[in-house]
Amino acid sequence: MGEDLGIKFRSLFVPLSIAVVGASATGITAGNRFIRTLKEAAYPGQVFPIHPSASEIEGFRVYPSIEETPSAVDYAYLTVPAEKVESILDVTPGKIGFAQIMASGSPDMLPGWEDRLRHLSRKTGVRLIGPNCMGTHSPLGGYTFIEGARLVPGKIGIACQSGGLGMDILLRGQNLGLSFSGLVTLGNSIDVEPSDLFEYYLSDPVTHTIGFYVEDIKDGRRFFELARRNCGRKPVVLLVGGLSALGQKAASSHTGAMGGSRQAWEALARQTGALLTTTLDAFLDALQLCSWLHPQTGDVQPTITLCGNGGGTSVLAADALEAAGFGLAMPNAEARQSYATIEIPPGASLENPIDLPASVLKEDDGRLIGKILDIDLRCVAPYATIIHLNLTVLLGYRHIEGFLPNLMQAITHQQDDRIANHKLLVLRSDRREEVDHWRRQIRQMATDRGIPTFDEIPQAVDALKKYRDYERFLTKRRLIG
Amino acid sequence: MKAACAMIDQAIAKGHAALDEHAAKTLFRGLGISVPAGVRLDPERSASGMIDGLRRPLVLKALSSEPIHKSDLGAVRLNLADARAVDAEREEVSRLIVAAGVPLVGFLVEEMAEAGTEIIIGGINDPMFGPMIMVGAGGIYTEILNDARFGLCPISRADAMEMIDGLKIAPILKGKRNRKPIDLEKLVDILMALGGQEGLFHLQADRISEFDVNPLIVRPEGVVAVDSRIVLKK
Repeated sequence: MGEDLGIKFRSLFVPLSIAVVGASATGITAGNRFIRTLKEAAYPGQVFPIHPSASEIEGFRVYPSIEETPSAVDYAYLTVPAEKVESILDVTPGKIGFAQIMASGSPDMLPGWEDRLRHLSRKTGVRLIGPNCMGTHSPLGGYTFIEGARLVPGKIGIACQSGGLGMDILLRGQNLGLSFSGLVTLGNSIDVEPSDLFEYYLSDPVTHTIGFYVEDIKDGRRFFELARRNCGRKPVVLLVGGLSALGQKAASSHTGAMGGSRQAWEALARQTGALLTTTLDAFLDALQLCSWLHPQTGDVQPTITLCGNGGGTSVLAADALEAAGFGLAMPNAEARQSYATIEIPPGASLENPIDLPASVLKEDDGRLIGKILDIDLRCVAPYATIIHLNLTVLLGYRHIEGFLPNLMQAITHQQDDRIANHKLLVLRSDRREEVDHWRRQIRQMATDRGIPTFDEIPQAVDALKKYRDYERFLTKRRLIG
Repeated sequence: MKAACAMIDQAIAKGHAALDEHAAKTLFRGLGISVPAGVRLDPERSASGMIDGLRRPLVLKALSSEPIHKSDLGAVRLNLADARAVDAEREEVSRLIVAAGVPLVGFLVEEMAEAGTEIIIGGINDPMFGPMIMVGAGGIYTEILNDARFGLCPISRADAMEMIDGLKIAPILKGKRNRKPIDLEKLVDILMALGGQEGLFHLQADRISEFDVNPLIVRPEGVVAVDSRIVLKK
C-alpha cells in the first residue's frame, strides 16, 4: 500500500520532466516566473515550455503542445486562462502524470467546467491538482513555485486548499526554521483531495508531521478514517477555515441547534489526536512543536520554568500559564544549594519565574544563564522551560565580545539528554530594524538546534497547551510510554 | 436493532416527519436504555382503567408525528394523581395541540421520573463528516448552558468517556459535594448504543436526520430517558 502510493505520487514530488503552459516569449507571466524558479533551483529534470509559436522561452526549447514533447510529462504547470485548460489536457492517455491548474473558472462556467475536467482526468489518466491554486513545493524533486522559497528537504508534509496561505506557510514557515517534505496547494480539489495527500504523507517514510489548511472536505469520512488509523503516530496539525458555518440552520432538535462545523472538527481532533488551530501563526507554531519536540507521555506534571529578563513580562507569563492549566516548577532545596555555589550579581531572582535582568545575563560574557538552566533541569526537571529575552535591553550589551553566540550556546545547549524537557524560546523585539535583525540571527541559531521560537510568551503557551493535549492523547491511547 | 429498523420503516412509510415520543421510547427500550413505565392512549381514549399499573404521580404528554417542542406548546402536564386528573388535562392539551395546527396522534401517560442530574444525548448529520453524536448538560437550559461535547460516529468507548469527561458538569456526575457518584460506564453504554460501531444512529443516519434524548435523568440508582425526539429524513 505504502509503496504503491509512493509510486503514484512520485511523478508529482520527484518529476523527471515539467511542462509549463502559459509562459510568454516576450513578457513575464506567472509561467515565466515559474520557469525562473526552476532555473534558480537548478531543477535537475527536463523543462518543456509549451507555446504555439515561440521557439525558445527562458532559454528552453519550446514545444507547441504537450503531446509533442519528447517524453512523458510527469508534471504540467498550467497558468493559462480557464477556457484553454481542456484543450491543453486532452492528450494521449498516460502522457501527463499530474497537472496543476492555477486558473479559477468564473462562477457561471464553474460546475460544467470542473465536471469536464474530471471527465478528462478519467479519460487520460492525468491527476488534476486545483483548479484555483498556486503550485507545489518539493525539495526532493528540486522545484518550488514561489520566489524565495528555499528547497531545504524537511519532514513536514502540507496540503493546502488555498494558494496564498500555501505561500505564507512556506515563507513564514521557513523564517521559523520549518522545512518541508512537500507542500501542495490544492485549491478547489476537484480531483486530488486533501485525503489523497493525507494518505500519501502517512505512508511516506520521510514525512514526520502532516499539516493541512482545509475549508471543504468532500470525503470527510475518509479523512476521519485516515486520521483515526494514524491515531497520533504522525502528528497532524489542522488549520481549518469556515468553522463559523452553521451545521443545520433549520434544526428541529437541541443537538442540531448546538452543533456545527466547529463542533465536528473539534470532535475529529479529540478523537484522532490532531492539533486544531484557527490562525496561521498558531498553525506554524504547532508545526514547530510537532517537528522538534519529543512527546512526553505518561503521568507527567505539566510544570514550567520561566526564565528571562523582564519582571512584568514574567508576571504576565505566569498568569497566561496558569490560565492554560500549567503550573510553575518550584525550585527545591537541592536547586537552591546549587545556586548558592555560583556567583550571581544582585538583581536576579532565582525563584520561578527566574528573573535575570540583562545586567545579569551579560555575566561570563553571556554564559551565566547556562549554569542556572542546568541546575534547574538537573534538580527540578520541569516539563518545559520557556526562556524569554527582551532583545531591546540585551542590545545594550552588544559591545561584549561574543555575547550573542555565548548566550545562545548557553541557552540551547542541554547538559543531560536523559531528562525529558521541552525548551521554548521567546524573542521579544520592539520591531526596530536593528532589534529585528538580531532576532533573525538568534532565531536561526535556535531553530538550527530544533528549539521552537516565538515572538511573545502567550503564543508559546498556546502552542504548548495544544501539544500537551496531543501528548495526553498519546498517553491515553497508549501509543508510547 | 431489527425492531428499531422496523419502527423507522413504518414511520417513513406513513410519511411521518418524526417518531412520536412513545415510538421513540419503545425503540430506545429495545436498545437497553431505560424509559419510564407508561401507557399509550389514542387521542379520544379516556385514561380510566388503562393506567392502574402505573406508580403515582403521573405525567401526561401529547404525541405527534411532527417534531414538536412539547413544553413550548403546553403539551406536558406533571404531577397528576389519577385517571380523572389525566382526562381533565387531556382535553385541555388536545385543544392546545389542535390550535397549534400540529397533528395529534395520541397521548402518553407515564410514571413521573425522580429528579436527578439532567443530561442530553443527541445526534445530527454533519454535512462534511456525517453522523455525529453529542452529550451535554440537559434539561430546559441546554442551549443556554451550551455545555456539550460532540463525537464523530462511530465513537469508541474511550471517545465516549472523554466526551463525558470534557463536560463542565463532569465533576457533578462524578459525585462532587457529597453527591453519590453515578455509574459513568452506564452513560458510556448508552452513547455506544446510539453512536458506537453498532449504534442506532451510526447505522441509521441515512434515515434519521437528528435526535435528542433530553432530559436523560442520571441518578446513582440508574439512568432514565425521560423525553426524546427522533426526526426522520425527508
